[in-house]
Amino acid sequence: MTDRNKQPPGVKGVPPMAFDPVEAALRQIFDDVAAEDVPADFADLVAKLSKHPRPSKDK
Amino acid sequence: MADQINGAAVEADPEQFIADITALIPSLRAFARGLCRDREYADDLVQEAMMRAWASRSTFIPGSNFRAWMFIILRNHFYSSVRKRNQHVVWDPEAAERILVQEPTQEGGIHVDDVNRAMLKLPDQQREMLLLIAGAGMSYEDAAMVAGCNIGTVKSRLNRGRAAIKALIEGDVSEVTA
Repeated sequence: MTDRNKQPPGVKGVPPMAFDPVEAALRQIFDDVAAEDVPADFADLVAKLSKHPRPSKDK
Repeated sequence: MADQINGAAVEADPEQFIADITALIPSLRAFARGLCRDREYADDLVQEAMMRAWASRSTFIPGSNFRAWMFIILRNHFYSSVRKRNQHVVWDPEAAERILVQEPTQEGGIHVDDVNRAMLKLPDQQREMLLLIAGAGMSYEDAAMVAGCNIGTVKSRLNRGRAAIKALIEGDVSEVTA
């Protein structure tokens, strides 16, 4: 669910792609969490935000 | 922070803004979980970051780096929250291990759960850099933007974090799991 794959190849500053087992493990850890079902209260929050389309003035 | 990065305030399209936030929820949850190591706390952080982003959306410039902007808000909220809770130095490794249960898969001789345990031992700055670059797949530039440092610092923290994890795993696993 990350947008890692949207990054075009050869972009300046993109870390090298050589295989590193530690980085692969970290990527798996991150992707495992990102692949979890998102709890329903996030949908509730998004719905709540959608009902208030104007920016808050008291920030 | 967002207005410092993105400059002049331009109104973002609310529907697009919500769609963009929604698409980022999975990676925000993963980043937050990596930072705080607590599932419920991480989700609270993400939800608060979403509300803050929504309240500050007039400071976001459409077409600029929304993902980095959201990660900055989340990261800032995490460290601000940690200062208030005064709990970021002392981890409970046993509690963290209960939260961070992973399948014992293997990547080139290194177990994912070994890496997870080693992450608990890293300084915050190294851990967050590994999360941003190795985990979230960010560029050095974006990671520098999120962490508020320069690219040289990003590379240094990344290399030290990676080396520390390898040393912890290869050097003394019993110490890591203790």
